[in-house]
Amino acid sequence: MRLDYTYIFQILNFIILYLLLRRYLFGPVKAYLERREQYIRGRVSAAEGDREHAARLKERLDAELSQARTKARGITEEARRASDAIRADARKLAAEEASRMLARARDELAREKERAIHDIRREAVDLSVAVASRVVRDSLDTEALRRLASAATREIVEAKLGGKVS
Amino acid sequence: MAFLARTYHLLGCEIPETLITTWAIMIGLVIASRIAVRVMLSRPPEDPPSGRRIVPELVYEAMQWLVDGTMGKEHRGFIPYIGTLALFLVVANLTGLIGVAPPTADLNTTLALATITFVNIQYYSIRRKGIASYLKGFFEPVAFLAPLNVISEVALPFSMAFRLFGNMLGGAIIMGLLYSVLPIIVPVVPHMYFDIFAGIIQTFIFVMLTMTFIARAMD
Repeated sequence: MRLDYTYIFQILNFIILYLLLRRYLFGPVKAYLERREQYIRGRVSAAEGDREHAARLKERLDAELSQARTKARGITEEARRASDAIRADARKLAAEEASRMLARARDELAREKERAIHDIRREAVDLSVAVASRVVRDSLDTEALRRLASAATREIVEAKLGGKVS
Repeated sequence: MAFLARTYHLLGCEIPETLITTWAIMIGLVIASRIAVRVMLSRPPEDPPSGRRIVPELVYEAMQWLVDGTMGKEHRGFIPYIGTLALFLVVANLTGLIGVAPPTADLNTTLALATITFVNIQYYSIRRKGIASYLKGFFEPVAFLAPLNVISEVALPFSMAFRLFGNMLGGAIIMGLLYSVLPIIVPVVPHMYFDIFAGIIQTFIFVMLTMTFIARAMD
């Protein structure tokens, strides 16, 4: 085993092998892996972008949801106030109407009472005149009898109804 | 002596077995590389790696891992050189399994590889430090130690070459002797040790030393 020209050949062989493997193995594999790395970086970057977008979207939706809740609360409050007002108005109107109806009924009652008194008085007068005219036809004239009957009737009515009649 | 490299005569030329085996290894590595890369490129890099496609990636990433760990990420440019060295040495050391004398059991091969490493070390050392600083380094820490510094520098390729050569030749001689005494079944276990285990370990040592010395020269 001695050093000879094989030594020079082996140096050349190794250099050639190095150049060939760099061209046909390490170069293409390096480029391939770099492409993959670039692709993965791109995907990671896109995912990061998506994540940020989703976070922004969530933030916006949360804000909108909060606004919507506030608005809904306001609307509910407003509706409650409106219903209270409507109820109060209705109660007030009903009370006024009842009061008006009561007053009207009282007026009606008073008028009916007045009319009844007047009718009774007239009936009584007519009846008294008729009776009296038969009894005292000769001593009293009709006008005197009427005055007398009217006074008697007033007394009767006042005594029956317990009030003064004009 | 079947365990030693023979010499063949072809067209009046003497061609050592070492060279023939080396050429066969070169051709085999280049063809295997081309096939592996073609298989790898059959699918776009966006596809997840799988099956046979990952073989070249595994080789490249193993070399990258070694270079990153020993020399640093800034020296990834050495991956093709370190990878070539590792692939050649591992295949050359394993050729003993098929009854061929390993090219690394020939001092011409190991010294050639160590010489290339030595040239790399000196080249990158000069490029990094400059010629004046490089030469000045031999006179440190004191001038009279310059001869020792030169000897230690020159001894480097010889130590690397003889370590690999000695281990592989020793293994080849022991295997040759075993085959001459017990040619059947018995040599299987020694083959596993001397060719597979020692072959891979010696490859690793040679490659690690190469990376360490070149990285040190560049610091």
